[in-house]
Amino acid sequence: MRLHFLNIATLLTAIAASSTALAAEAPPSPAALLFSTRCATCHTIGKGIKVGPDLLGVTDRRDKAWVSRFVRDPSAMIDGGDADAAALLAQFNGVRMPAQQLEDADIDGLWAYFAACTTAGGCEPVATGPRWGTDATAEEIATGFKLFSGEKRLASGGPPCFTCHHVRELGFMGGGTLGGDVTFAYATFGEAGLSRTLAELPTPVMAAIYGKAPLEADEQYALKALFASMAKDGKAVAQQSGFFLMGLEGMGIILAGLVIFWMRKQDTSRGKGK
Amino acid sequence: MSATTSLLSVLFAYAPVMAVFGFAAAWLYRWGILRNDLGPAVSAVSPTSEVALVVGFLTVVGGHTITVIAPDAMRALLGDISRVALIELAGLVGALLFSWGLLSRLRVRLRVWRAGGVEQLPRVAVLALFFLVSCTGALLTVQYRWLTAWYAYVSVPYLRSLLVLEPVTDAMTASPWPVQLHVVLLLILVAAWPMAGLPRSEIFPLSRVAERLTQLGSTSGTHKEGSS
Repeated sequence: MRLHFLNIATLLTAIAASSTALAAEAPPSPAALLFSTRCATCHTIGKGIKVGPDLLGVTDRRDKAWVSRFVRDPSAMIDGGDADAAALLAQFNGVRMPAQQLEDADIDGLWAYFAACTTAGGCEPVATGPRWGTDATAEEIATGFKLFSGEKRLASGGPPCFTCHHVRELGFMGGGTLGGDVTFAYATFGEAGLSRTLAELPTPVMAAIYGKAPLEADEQYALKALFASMAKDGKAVAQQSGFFLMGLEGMGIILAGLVIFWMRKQDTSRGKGK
Repeated sequence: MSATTSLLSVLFAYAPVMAVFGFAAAWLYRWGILRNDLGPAVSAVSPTSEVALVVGFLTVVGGHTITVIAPDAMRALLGDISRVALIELAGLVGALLFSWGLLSRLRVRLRVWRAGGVEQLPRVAVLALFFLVSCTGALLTVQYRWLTAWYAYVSVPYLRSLLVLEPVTDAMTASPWPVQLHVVLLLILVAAWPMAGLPRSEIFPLSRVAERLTQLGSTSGTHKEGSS
Protein backbone atom coordinates (compact mmCIF):
# COMPACT_ATOMS: atom_id res chain seq x y z
CA MET A 1 0.00 0.00 0.00
CA ARG A 2 2.81 2.35 0.91
CA LEU A 3 4.57 1.50 -2.29
CA HIS A 4 1.37 2.25 -4.21
CA PHE A 5 1.08 5.69 -2.50
CA LEU A 6 4.70 6.52 -3.47
CA ASN A 7 3.97 5.61 -7.07
CA ILE A 8 0.98 7.95 -7.16
CA ALA A 9 3.09 10.76 -5.62
CA THR A 10 5.82 10.21 -8.18
CA LEU A 11 3.28 10.22 -10.96
CA LEU A 12 1.71 13.47 -9.71
CA THR A 13 5.15 15.10 -9.41
CA ALA A 14 5.97 14.04 -12.95
CA ILE A 15 2.68 15.41 -14.25
CA ALA A 16 3.26 18.69 -12.41
CA ALA A 17 6.78 18.99 -13.81
CA SER A 18 5.70 18.23 -17.35
CA SER A 19 2.82 20.72 -17.16
CA THR A 20 5.26 23.40 -15.94
CA ALA A 21 7.55 22.61 -18.88
CA LEU A 22 4.62 22.71 -21.27
CA ALA A 23 3.59 26.09 -19.87
CA ALA A 24 7.14 27.38 -20.32
CA GLU A 25 7.25 26.16 -23.92
CA ALA A 26 3.77 27.45 -24.80
CA PRO A 27 4.00 29.23 -28.14
CA PRO A 28 3.84 33.02 -27.88
CA SER A 29 0.69 34.74 -29.08
CA PRO A 30 0.63 35.96 -32.70
CA ALA A 31 0.67 39.55 -31.44
CA ALA A 32 3.73 38.89 -29.26
CA LEU A 33 5.50 37.34 -32.24
CA LEU A 34 4.49 40.21 -34.48
CA PHE A 35 5.79 42.73 -31.95
CA SER A 36 9.04 40.77 -31.57
CA THR A 37 9.71 40.50 -35.28
CA ARG A 38 8.44 43.83 -36.56
CA CYS A 39 8.45 46.33 -33.71
CA ALA A 40 10.96 45.27 -31.06
CA THR A 41 14.03 46.20 -33.11
CA CYS A 42 13.15 49.85 -32.53
CA HIS A 43 10.68 49.81 -29.61
CA THR A 44 10.47 48.36 -26.09
CA ILE A 45 7.48 47.96 -23.81
CA GLY A 46 8.62 49.25 -20.46
CA LYS A 47 12.39 49.22 -21.07
CA GLY A 48 12.76 52.80 -22.26
CA ILE A 49 13.51 54.49 -25.58
CA LYS A 50 15.38 52.40 -28.19
CA VAL A 51 15.34 53.80 -31.74
CA GLY A 52 11.70 54.85 -31.33
CA PRO A 53 9.52 55.55 -28.27
CA ASP A 54 8.76 53.13 -25.42
CA LEU A 55 5.30 51.68 -26.12
CA LEU A 56 4.36 51.15 -22.46
CA GLY A 57 1.10 53.00 -21.97
CA VAL A 58 0.66 53.77 -25.66
CA THR A 59 -2.95 52.59 -25.39
CA ASP A 60 -3.54 55.32 -22.81
CA ARG A 61 -1.58 58.05 -24.61
CA ARG A 62 -2.96 57.55 -28.11
CA ASP A 63 -6.13 56.78 -29.93
CA LYS A 64 -6.23 53.35 -31.62
CA ALA A 65 -7.36 54.81 -34.95
CA TRP A 66 -4.45 57.27 -34.89
CA VAL A 67 -1.91 54.50 -34.16
CA SER A 68 -3.45 52.37 -36.88
CA ARG A 69 -3.02 55.14 -39.46
CA PHE A 70 0.43 56.12 -38.24
CA VAL A 71 2.09 52.68 -38.34
CA ARG A 72 0.73 52.02 -41.83
CA ASP A 73 2.08 55.26 -43.30
CA PRO A 74 4.03 57.51 -40.92
CA SER A 75 5.43 59.72 -43.66
CA ALA A 76 1.97 60.55 -45.01
CA MET A 77 0.88 61.74 -41.58
CA ILE A 78 4.09 63.70 -40.98
CA ASP A 79 3.95 65.36 -44.39
CA GLY A 80 0.18 65.79 -44.04
CA GLY A 81 0.71 68.11 -41.09
CA ASP A 82 -0.41 65.87 -38.21
CA ALA A 83 0.88 67.65 -35.11
CA ASP A 84 1.51 64.50 -33.02
CA ALA A 85 3.34 62.78 -35.88
CA ALA A 86 5.46 65.89 -36.44
CA ALA A 87 6.23 66.05 -32.72
CA LEU A 88 7.43 62.43 -32.77
CA LEU A 89 9.65 63.18 -35.76
CA ALA A 90 11.16 66.15 -33.95
CA GLN A 91 11.61 64.16 -30.72
CA PHE A 92 13.45 61.35 -32.53
CA ASN A 93 15.78 63.59 -34.51
CA GLY A 94 14.13 63.21 -37.86
CA VAL A 95 14.18 59.40 -38.00
CA ARG A 96 11.03 58.37 -39.86
CA MET A 97 9.48 55.06 -38.95
CA PRO A 98 9.21 52.78 -42.00
CA ALA A 99 5.62 52.08 -43.12
CA GLN A 100 4.30 48.71 -41.89
CA GLN A 101 1.95 46.63 -43.98
CA LEU A 102 -0.43 45.40 -41.30
CA GLU A 103 -3.97 43.99 -41.54
CA ASP A 104 -6.76 45.25 -39.27
CA ALA A 105 -6.55 41.96 -37.33
CA ASP A 106 -2.81 42.57 -36.76
CA ILE A 107 -3.52 46.03 -35.40
CA ASP A 108 -6.28 44.69 -33.12
CA GLY A 109 -3.95 41.99 -31.81
CA LEU A 110 -1.09 44.42 -31.22
CA TRP A 111 -3.39 46.91 -29.51
CA ALA A 112 -4.65 44.20 -27.11
CA TYR A 113 -1.03 43.09 -26.55
CA PHE A 114 0.11 46.65 -25.76
CA ALA A 115 -2.81 47.06 -23.33
CA ALA A 116 -2.00 43.76 -21.56
CA CYS A 117 1.71 44.64 -21.38
CA THR A 118 0.86 48.09 -20.00
CA THR A 119 -1.24 46.47 -17.28
CA ALA A 120 1.60 44.02 -16.55
CA GLY A 121 4.13 46.85 -16.36
CA GLY A 122 6.03 45.78 -19.51
CA CYS A 123 6.81 42.84 -21.78
CA GLU A 124 9.98 41.28 -23.12
CA PRO A 125 10.09 40.37 -26.82
CA VAL A 126 10.17 36.66 -27.52
CA ALA A 127 13.23 35.09 -29.13
CA THR A 128 12.57 34.89 -32.85
CA GLY A 129 15.89 34.11 -34.45
CA PRO A 130 19.46 35.35 -34.50
CA ARG A 131 20.82 37.85 -32.01
CA TRP A 132 19.65 41.40 -32.58
CA GLY A 133 21.88 44.25 -33.54
CA THR A 134 20.62 46.30 -30.62
CA ASP A 135 22.01 43.72 -28.16
CA ALA A 136 25.61 44.19 -29.33
CA THR A 137 28.50 45.10 -27.05
CA ALA A 138 30.55 48.26 -27.55
CA GLU A 139 33.38 46.09 -28.84
CA GLU A 140 31.17 44.55 -31.53
CA ILE A 141 29.97 48.00 -32.61
CA ALA A 142 33.60 49.17 -32.81
CA THR A 143 34.46 46.12 -34.93
CA GLY A 144 31.57 47.01 -37.23
CA PHE A 145 32.95 50.52 -37.65
CA LYS A 146 36.43 49.16 -38.40
CA LEU A 147 34.99 46.84 -41.04
CA PHE A 148 32.98 49.67 -42.55
CA SER A 149 35.89 52.11 -42.66
CA GLY A 150 38.40 49.54 -43.96
CA GLU A 151 40.54 49.67 -40.80
CA LYS A 152 39.84 45.94 -40.51
CA ARG A 153 39.80 44.00 -43.78
CA LEU A 154 36.92 41.69 -44.65
CA ALA A 155 37.94 38.05 -44.28
CA SER A 156 36.96 37.09 -47.83
CA GLY A 157 38.78 40.07 -49.37
CA GLY A 158 35.75 42.09 -50.45
CA PRO A 159 35.94 45.88 -50.58
CA PRO A 160 35.21 47.79 -47.37
CA CYS A 161 31.74 49.31 -47.14
CA PHE A 162 32.96 52.93 -47.25
CA THR A 163 33.92 52.59 -50.92
CA CYS A 164 30.22 52.85 -51.83
CA HIS A 165 28.39 53.87 -48.63
CA HIS A 166 28.47 56.64 -46.09
CA VAL A 167 27.67 56.61 -42.37
CA ARG A 168 27.77 59.40 -39.84
CA GLU A 169 31.16 59.99 -38.15
CA LEU A 170 33.17 58.58 -41.04
CA GLY A 171 35.44 61.57 -41.12
CA PHE A 172 36.22 64.65 -43.15
CA MET A 173 35.60 63.33 -46.66
CA GLY A 174 32.93 60.79 -45.75
CA GLY A 175 32.11 57.52 -47.46
CA GLY A 176 31.18 56.72 -51.03
CA THR A 177 28.14 58.14 -52.75
CA LEU A 178 27.50 55.23 -55.10
CA GLY A 179 25.45 53.18 -52.64
CA GLY A 180 24.14 56.05 -50.56
CA ASP A 181 23.99 56.89 -46.88
CA VAL A 182 23.25 53.89 -44.64
CA THR A 183 23.33 55.66 -41.26
CA PHE A 184 19.66 54.81 -40.67
CA ALA A 185 19.64 51.45 -42.48
CA TYR A 186 18.65 49.67 -39.27
CA ALA A 187 15.60 51.88 -38.81
CA THR A 188 14.70 51.58 -42.48
CA PHE A 189 15.12 47.84 -43.03
CA GLY A 190 14.47 46.61 -39.49
CA GLU A 191 16.31 43.78 -37.75
CA ALA A 192 15.09 41.02 -40.03
CA GLY A 193 15.44 42.98 -43.26
CA LEU A 194 18.95 44.14 -42.47
CA SER A 195 20.05 40.65 -41.41
CA ARG A 196 18.79 39.31 -44.72
CA THR A 197 20.41 42.14 -46.70
CA LEU A 198 23.80 41.63 -45.06
CA ALA A 199 23.61 37.88 -45.59
CA GLU A 200 22.46 37.99 -49.20
CA LEU A 201 23.77 41.39 -50.40
CA PRO A 202 20.98 41.29 -52.96
CA THR A 203 21.48 44.43 -55.09
CA PRO A 204 22.93 43.73 -58.55
CA VAL A 205 26.14 45.65 -57.87
CA MET A 206 26.75 44.04 -54.47
CA ALA A 207 25.93 40.60 -55.84
CA ALA A 208 28.50 41.11 -58.59
CA ILE A 209 31.20 42.28 -56.18
CA TYR A 210 30.55 40.11 -53.13
CA GLY A 211 29.24 37.04 -54.99
CA LYS A 212 32.60 35.32 -54.52
CA ALA A 213 33.47 37.18 -51.33
CA PRO A 214 30.44 37.05 -49.00
CA LEU A 215 30.51 38.52 -45.51
CA GLU A 216 31.32 36.11 -42.66
CA ALA A 217 28.61 35.63 -40.01
CA ASP A 218 30.51 37.60 -37.37
CA GLU A 219 31.15 40.41 -39.88
CA GLN A 220 27.45 40.55 -40.71
CA TYR A 221 26.63 40.84 -37.02
CA ALA A 222 29.27 43.51 -36.35
CA LEU A 223 27.95 45.63 -39.22
CA LYS A 224 24.37 45.14 -38.08
CA ALA A 225 25.46 46.20 -34.58
CA LEU A 226 27.06 49.34 -36.07
CA PHE A 227 23.88 50.25 -37.96
CA ALA A 228 21.73 49.59 -34.89
CA SER A 229 23.98 51.83 -32.85
CA MET A 230 23.91 54.56 -35.53
CA ALA A 231 20.11 54.45 -35.76
CA LYS A 232 19.76 54.79 -31.97
CA ASP A 233 21.38 58.20 -32.21
CA GLY A 234 19.19 60.06 -34.66
CA LYS A 235 21.61 62.96 -35.22
CA ALA A 236 21.45 64.28 -38.74
CA VAL A 237 24.21 63.27 -41.13
CA ALA A 238 26.59 66.13 -41.96
CA GLN A 239 26.85 67.22 -45.55
CA GLN A 240 30.02 65.99 -47.19
CA SER A 241 32.66 68.45 -48.24
CA GLY A 242 32.85 69.89 -51.76
CA PHE A 243 35.08 67.38 -53.49
CA PHE A 244 34.74 68.98 -56.89
CA LEU A 245 35.75 72.36 -55.51
CA MET A 246 38.86 70.78 -54.00
CA GLY A 247 39.71 69.29 -57.40
CA LEU A 248 39.18 72.63 -59.13
CA GLU A 249 41.33 74.36 -56.54
CA GLY A 250 44.08 71.77 -57.05
CA MET A 251 43.96 72.28 -60.82
CA GLY A 252 43.86 76.06 -60.42
CA ILE A 253 46.91 76.07 -58.16
CA ILE A 254 48.91 73.89 -60.55
CA LEU A 255 47.93 75.91 -63.64
CA ALA A 256 48.62 79.22 -61.89
CA GLY A 257 51.99 77.87 -60.70
CA LEU A 258 52.87 76.84 -64.25
CA VAL A 259 51.84 80.20 -65.73
CA ILE A 260 53.94 82.07 -63.16
CA PHE A 261 56.87 79.69 -63.76
CA TRP A 262 56.83 80.19 -67.56
CA MET A 263 56.33 83.95 -67.27
CA ARG A 264 59.33 84.29 -64.98
CA LYS A 265 61.44 82.14 -67.26
CA GLN A 266 60.40 84.24 -70.27
CA ASP A 267 61.23 87.44 -68.39
CA THR A 268 64.64 85.99 -67.59
CA SER A 269 65.16 85.15 -71.27
CA ARG A 270 64.08 88.67 -72.35
CA GLY A 271 66.38 90.21 -69.76
CA LYS A 272 69.22 88.20 -71.18
CA GLY A 273 68.29 89.34 -74.72
CA LYS A 274 68.60 92.98 -73.69
CA MET B 1 17.71 38.74 -66.54
CA SER B 2 15.94 41.70 -68.16
CA ALA B 3 16.26 42.53 -71.86
CA THR B 4 18.30 45.65 -71.05
CA THR B 5 20.72 43.67 -68.91
CA SER B 6 21.09 41.06 -71.65
CA LEU B 7 21.79 43.74 -74.23
CA LEU B 8 24.33 45.42 -71.97
CA SER B 9 25.95 42.07 -71.29
CA VAL B 10 26.34 41.48 -75.04
CA LEU B 11 27.59 45.05 -75.51
CA PHE B 12 30.30 44.77 -72.86
CA ALA B 13 31.30 41.31 -74.02
CA TYR B 14 31.70 42.14 -77.72
CA ALA B 15 32.22 45.90 -78.00
CA PRO B 16 35.86 45.67 -76.80
CA VAL B 17 36.59 43.07 -79.50
CA MET B 18 34.97 45.31 -82.10
CA ALA B 19 36.98 48.26 -80.81
CA VAL B 20 40.22 46.30 -81.21
CA PHE B 21 39.25 45.23 -84.74
CA GLY B 22 38.24 48.81 -85.51
CA PHE B 23 41.59 50.04 -84.24
CA ALA B 24 43.46 47.46 -86.38
CA ALA B 25 41.43 48.34 -89.49
CA ALA B 26 41.88 52.08 -88.97
CA TRP B 27 45.58 51.61 -88.32
CA LEU B 28 46.00 49.58 -91.54
CA TYR B 29 44.09 52.25 -93.46
CA ARG B 30 46.23 55.02 -91.99
CA TRP B 31 49.55 53.27 -92.64
CA GLY B 32 48.70 51.16 -95.70
CA ILE B 33 46.71 53.66 -97.75
CA LEU B 34 47.47 57.08 -96.36
CA ARG B 35 51.10 56.20 -95.52
CA ASN B 36 50.53 57.91 -92.20
CA ASP B 37 50.35 61.32 -93.79
CA LEU B 38 49.82 63.54 -90.78
CA GLY B 39 49.28 66.68 -92.80
CA PRO B 40 50.73 70.06 -91.97
CA ALA B 41 51.68 70.72 -88.34
CA VAL B 42 49.39 73.04 -86.38
CA SER B 43 50.49 75.81 -84.08
CA ALA B 44 51.55 74.73 -80.61
CA VAL B 45 49.51 75.29 -77.48
CA SER B 46 50.84 77.23 -74.51
CA PRO B 47 53.58 75.65 -72.37
CA THR B 48 51.11 75.57 -69.45
CA SER B 49 48.66 73.48 -71.48
CA GLU B 50 51.45 71.15 -72.58
CA VAL B 51 52.56 70.55 -69.00
CA ALA B 52 48.89 70.07 -68.01
CA LEU B 53 48.62 67.42 -70.74
CA VAL B 54 51.75 65.61 -69.58
CA VAL B 55 50.88 65.70 -65.86
CA GLY B 56 47.23 64.82 -66.54
CA PHE B 57 48.13 61.97 -68.90
CA LEU B 58 50.63 60.48 -66.45
CA THR B 59 48.14 60.72 -63.56
CA VAL B 60 45.09 59.38 -65.34
CA VAL B 61 46.59 56.75 -67.64
CA GLY B 62 49.22 55.78 -65.05
CA GLY B 63 46.58 55.30 -62.34
CA HIS B 64 44.32 53.23 -64.57
CA THR B 65 47.18 51.08 -65.87
CA ILE B 66 48.83 50.40 -62.50
CA THR B 67 45.49 49.23 -61.09
CA VAL B 68 45.00 46.83 -64.01
CA ILE B 69 48.54 45.48 -63.68
CA ALA B 70 48.61 45.16 -59.88
CA PRO B 71 45.03 45.12 -58.60
CA ASP B 72 45.80 43.42 -55.28
CA ALA B 73 48.47 45.94 -54.35
CA MET B 74 46.12 48.76 -55.31
CA ARG B 75 43.26 47.27 -53.29
CA ALA B 76 45.52 47.02 -50.24
CA LEU B 77 46.41 50.67 -50.77
CA LEU B 78 42.74 51.57 -51.11
CA GLY B 79 41.81 49.85 -47.83
CA ASP B 80 42.10 53.09 -45.88
CA ILE B 81 39.70 55.97 -46.42
CA SER B 82 42.38 58.68 -46.07
CA ARG B 83 44.56 57.06 -48.72
CA VAL B 84 41.57 56.64 -51.03
CA ALA B 85 40.68 60.31 -50.56
CA LEU B 86 44.24 61.36 -51.41
CA ILE B 87 44.50 59.11 -54.47
CA GLU B 88 41.08 60.14 -55.69
CA LEU B 89 41.85 63.82 -55.28
CA ALA B 90 45.11 63.41 -57.20
CA GLY B 91 43.16 61.56 -59.90
CA LEU B 92 40.55 64.30 -60.10
CA VAL B 93 43.17 67.04 -60.39
CA GLY B 94 44.94 64.95 -63.07
CA ALA B 95 41.69 64.45 -65.01
CA LEU B 96 40.90 68.17 -64.85
CA LEU B 97 44.41 69.09 -66.01
CA PHE B 98 44.19 66.58 -68.83
CA SER B 99 40.78 67.95 -69.87
CA TRP B 100 42.23 71.47 -69.81
CA GLY B 101 45.12 70.43 -72.02
CA LEU B 102 42.84 68.57 -74.43
CA LEU B 103 40.54 71.58 -74.64
CA SER B 104 43.51 73.76 -75.64
CA ARG B 105 44.44 71.24 -78.34
CA LEU B 106 40.85 71.07 -79.53
CA ARG B 107 40.61 74.84 -79.80
CA VAL B 108 43.74 74.98 -81.98
CA ARG B 109 42.44 72.19 -84.24
CA LEU B 110 39.02 73.85 -84.48
CA ARG B 111 40.65 77.10 -85.55
CA VAL B 112 42.59 75.29 -88.29
CA TRP B 113 39.48 73.45 -89.43
CA ARG B 114 37.46 76.67 -89.62
CA ALA B 115 40.29 78.25 -91.59
CA GLY B 116 39.83 75.49 -94.19
CA GLY B 117 42.62 73.14 -93.15
CA VAL B 118 42.57 69.80 -94.94
CA GLU B 119 41.64 66.55 -93.15
CA GLN B 120 40.92 68.39 -89.93
CA LEU B 121 37.42 67.10 -89.26
CA PRO B 122 38.42 63.56 -88.11
CA ARG B 123 41.10 65.12 -85.89
CA VAL B 124 38.65 67.56 -84.37
CA ALA B 125 36.13 64.74 -83.86
CA VAL B 126 38.66 62.43 -82.18
CA LEU B 127 40.01 65.20 -79.97
CA ALA B 128 36.45 66.13 -79.00
CA LEU B 129 35.78 62.49 -78.18
CA PHE B 130 38.96 62.30 -76.10
CA PHE B 131 37.92 65.48 -74.31
CA LEU B 132 34.50 63.95 -73.64
CA VAL B 133 36.05 60.75 -72.23
CA SER B 134 38.28 62.81 -69.96
CA CYS B 135 35.39 65.01 -68.82
CA THR B 136 33.10 62.05 -68.10
CA GLY B 137 35.94 60.52 -66.03
CA ALA B 138 36.28 63.71 -63.99
CA LEU B 139 32.51 63.98 -63.57
CA LEU B 140 32.28 60.35 -62.46
CA THR B 141 34.95 61.00 -59.85
CA VAL B 142 32.83 63.81 -58.48
CA GLN B 143 29.46 62.09 -58.84
CA TYR B 144 30.37 58.61 -57.56
CA ARG B 145 32.87 58.59 -54.73
CA TRP B 146 35.03 56.63 -54.29
CA LEU B 147 35.45 55.81 -57.97
CA THR B 148 39.07 54.72 -57.58
CA ALA B 149 38.01 51.86 -55.32
CA TRP B 150 35.05 51.19 -57.58
CA TYR B 151 37.40 50.95 -60.55
CA ALA B 152 39.69 48.54 -58.68
CA TYR B 153 36.87 46.23 -57.66
CA VAL B 154 34.46 46.48 -60.61
CA SER B 155 36.16 47.68 -63.79
CA VAL B 156 39.53 45.99 -63.36
CA PRO B 157 38.12 42.45 -63.04
CA TYR B 158 36.15 43.20 -66.21
CA LEU B 159 39.20 44.54 -68.06
CA ARG B 160 41.34 41.60 -66.94
CA SER B 161 38.63 39.18 -68.04
CA LEU B 162 38.77 40.81 -71.48
CA LEU B 163 42.50 40.22 -71.65
CA VAL B 164 42.00 36.47 -71.22
CA LEU B 165 39.06 36.55 -73.68
CA GLU B 166 36.54 35.43 -71.07
CA PRO B 167 34.52 38.60 -70.43
CA VAL B 168 32.76 38.78 -67.05
CA THR B 169 30.22 41.54 -67.55
CA ASP B 170 28.01 41.21 -64.42
CA ALA B 171 29.52 44.10 -62.52
CA MET B 172 29.62 46.34 -65.60
CA THR B 173 25.98 45.71 -66.49
CA ALA B 174 25.05 46.50 -62.88
CA SER B 175 27.03 49.76 -62.91
CA PRO B 176 25.30 53.14 -63.16
CA TRP B 177 24.80 54.32 -66.73
CA PRO B 178 27.37 57.17 -66.57
CA VAL B 179 30.05 54.57 -65.79
CA GLN B 180 28.88 52.48 -68.75
CA LEU B 181 28.84 55.57 -70.97
CA HIS B 182 32.45 56.38 -69.99
CA VAL B 183 33.57 52.86 -70.96
CA VAL B 184 31.65 52.89 -74.26
CA LEU B 185 33.09 56.30 -75.20
CA LEU B 186 36.56 54.99 -74.42
CA LEU B 187 36.01 51.97 -76.68
CA ILE B 188 34.82 54.24 -79.51
CA LEU B 189 37.92 56.37 -78.98
CA VAL B 190 40.17 53.30 -79.22
CA ALA B 191 38.56 52.32 -82.54
CA ALA B 192 38.61 55.85 -83.96
CA TRP B 193 42.05 56.97 -82.79
CA PRO B 194 44.16 55.83 -85.79
CA MET B 195 41.68 57.41 -88.24
CA ALA B 196 42.53 60.88 -86.98
CA GLY B 197 46.22 60.56 -87.65
CA LEU B 198 47.07 62.70 -84.67
CA PRO B 199 50.71 62.66 -83.67
CA ARG B 200 51.21 61.10 -80.23
CA SER B 201 52.93 64.25 -79.07
CA GLU B 202 49.63 66.09 -79.41
CA ILE B 203 48.23 64.17 -76.43
CA PHE B 204 51.41 63.42 -74.53
CA PRO B 205 53.94 66.15 -75.41
CA LEU B 206 56.62 64.93 -73.02
CA SER B 207 59.50 65.50 -75.44
CA ARG B 208 58.22 69.00 -76.22
CA VAL B 209 58.00 69.89 -72.51
CA ALA B 210 61.45 68.40 -71.90
CA GLU B 211 62.77 70.42 -74.85
CA ARG B 212 61.28 73.62 -73.47
CA LEU B 213 62.74 72.95 -70.03
CA THR B 214 66.15 72.20 -71.55
CA GLN B 215 65.99 75.43 -73.55
CA LEU B 216 65.05 77.40 -70.47
CA GLY B 217 67.77 75.68 -68.47
CA SER B 218 70.43 76.51 -71.06
CA THR B 219 69.12 80.08 -71.37
CA SER B 220 69.28 80.71 -67.65
CA GLY B 221 72.70 78.96 -67.54
CA THR B 222 74.01 81.25 -70.29
CA HIS B 223 72.43 84.22 -68.50
CA LYS B 224 74.21 83.34 -65.28
CA GLU B 225 77.53 82.96 -67.11
CA GLY B 226 76.93 86.28 -68.87
CA SER B 227 76.13 88.11 -65.68
CA SER B 228 79.19 86.70 -63.89
